[in-house]
Amino acid sequence: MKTVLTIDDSKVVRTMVGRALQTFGVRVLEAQHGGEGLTLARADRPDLILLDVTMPVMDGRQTLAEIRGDASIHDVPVIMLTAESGKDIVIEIARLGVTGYIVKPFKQETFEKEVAKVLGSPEAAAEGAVDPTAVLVVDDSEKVLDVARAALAHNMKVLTALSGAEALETYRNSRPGVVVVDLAMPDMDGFATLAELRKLGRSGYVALSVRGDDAAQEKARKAGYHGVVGKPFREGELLDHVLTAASSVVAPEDLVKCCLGDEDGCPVFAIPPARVLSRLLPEFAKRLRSLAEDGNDRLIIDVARLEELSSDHVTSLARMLAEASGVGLRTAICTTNAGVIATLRELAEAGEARWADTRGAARACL
Amino acid sequence: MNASTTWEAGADPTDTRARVAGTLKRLSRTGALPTLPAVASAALALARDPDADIDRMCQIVRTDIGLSARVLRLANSAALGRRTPARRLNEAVVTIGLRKTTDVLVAACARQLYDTGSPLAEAQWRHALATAVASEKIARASRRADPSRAFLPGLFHDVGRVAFLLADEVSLRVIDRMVDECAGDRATLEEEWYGFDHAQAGAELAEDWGLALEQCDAIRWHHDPGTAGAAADLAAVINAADGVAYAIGQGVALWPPESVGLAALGLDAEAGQKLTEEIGEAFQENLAVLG
Repeated sequence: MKTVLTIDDSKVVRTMVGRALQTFGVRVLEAQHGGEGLTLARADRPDLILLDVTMPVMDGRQTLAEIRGDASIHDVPVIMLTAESGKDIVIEIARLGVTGYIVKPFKQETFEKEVAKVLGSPEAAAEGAVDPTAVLVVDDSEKVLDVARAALAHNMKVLTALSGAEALETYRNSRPGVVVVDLAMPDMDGFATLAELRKLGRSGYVALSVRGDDAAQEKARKAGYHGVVGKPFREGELLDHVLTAASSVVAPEDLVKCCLGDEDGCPVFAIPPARVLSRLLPEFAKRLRSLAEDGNDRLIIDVARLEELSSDHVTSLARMLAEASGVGLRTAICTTNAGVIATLRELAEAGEARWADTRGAARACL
Repeated sequence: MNASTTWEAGADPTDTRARVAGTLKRLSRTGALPTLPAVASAALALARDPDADIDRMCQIVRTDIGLSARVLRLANSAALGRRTPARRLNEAVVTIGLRKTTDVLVAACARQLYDTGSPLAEAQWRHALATAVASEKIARASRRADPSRAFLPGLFHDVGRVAFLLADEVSLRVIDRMVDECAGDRATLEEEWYGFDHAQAGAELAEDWGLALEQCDAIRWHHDPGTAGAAADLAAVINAADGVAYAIGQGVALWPPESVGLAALGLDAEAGQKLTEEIGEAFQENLAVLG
């Protein structure tokens, strides 16, 4: 799924832009001023930025100059949004390199025509959407593929490929939300594979490299990988990187599906990395309400793969336990880590949550 | 146009006028501003003519058989209390009065603007008619404005919204929803999106259509009567009428706009209640004639 970033200080304009973008089936990010827009652009590297000319804090011209001066986002297409009275400014900003401009208020047809120059027609853009719940793992070692499959299959649909060429074929057919690629493959290595994959669509990318090879890891990040995992990896470590990469391209409502599993009829929420978890909380709350409305009265929160809890994790877990209790779900927390249990004990008692070593035991105690 | 009473300090009226017209034309599917039929323009021109007479008004009305029927029907309505029914058009115009006949003609023609098939447009029409009826009655009861000049600005007070609706109904609904959800006040949201609000747009259209300057100013400032200069009293009447339209169930949004209220126009609670009931009945009678 392609991503479009709208930077405009007016909520009504951002709303209108979001509505106009619906036909393109893209993920929309919003920022209220240039500074916030730059932060989001650097974190998510959108496919298109729609940038208002006149804004407080950091106006469109300053923001555009910052974008063009940042190596990580300098080539992202930018379309300027300008008021009727601001058309004269367009000549000035054209020198800074913009793909086009749209005068506000705009008609849907005008908007679509301009945006299609970057995203393709609305139909084509929608067709390019990825499957947010699928992950493709590419490695020339069957053994690595088996380990990756075991690590990810609880949460996502896992596709595998033994070479870069096979990966491209699988990608064309399935459009997975995340692709995990071994950097050191014969014939087509991880860098060449990534370059070809990016021509086909926009997914989250995770590199597999030899643990400790700092130079390769740095090169991978510069090439556009969202994360790098050293081999051999722990199961939870790979899943964390995959979910983090997915969060760059997949909407929260889709991403939360990757964290929700099932243990013999009992819903299980596998805790993602703290950065991803905080983004998912509003969506998680909605899913809890749906679960309760569907007649569920139990929930397992699986934190088993966490070795230690960040303060963000603790804050988010507190909210999750409160949300679950609020909709009438009985909760069990699944972990064997004494440190985690000690940190969470007070929270769990407040939310009347139980403890269990495994998901099976958690289901049984509920 | 008297710039000192109609434009905010420092604004260039020509520039604002061109901006409103340019934006509405650009958004419109046809590339043109909403217009009134020629018969309405002729009636408005006649209303401005000091030598106007019944015969000339009858000539205008006769150009449209539907309008003739409406004028006769109104003349024979219970509200005007004729002892014997008017059978000829000139009898009907005499009964109604030249000025009121103009109001009826313009309202009947304006009705076409709202015939889009959209429920929102239909609600907007009923709100316009209710506000027009209320404006006339409030002006008369409060003596704050000439009642014979209150109906049309009441009718057109929200015609800027109709222009927005005709240009792009979805955008109008987005703003309506944001207002309903208290995400901002209507004038600000419209300013941010269109570059002007519906009151400004309505005043421009009304001026194009030939309404008097005081009436246009009352439309422009109907949400802020204190700023309307010489038209402040008429704007206050329109503002209060807008509120009464909501009170009789003819609103167009979840929340009624802020209103000066009838008390501010010197009508106590009892008089206000009685007047509101009269307005409700008069609205139904007008609706029966104008559809």
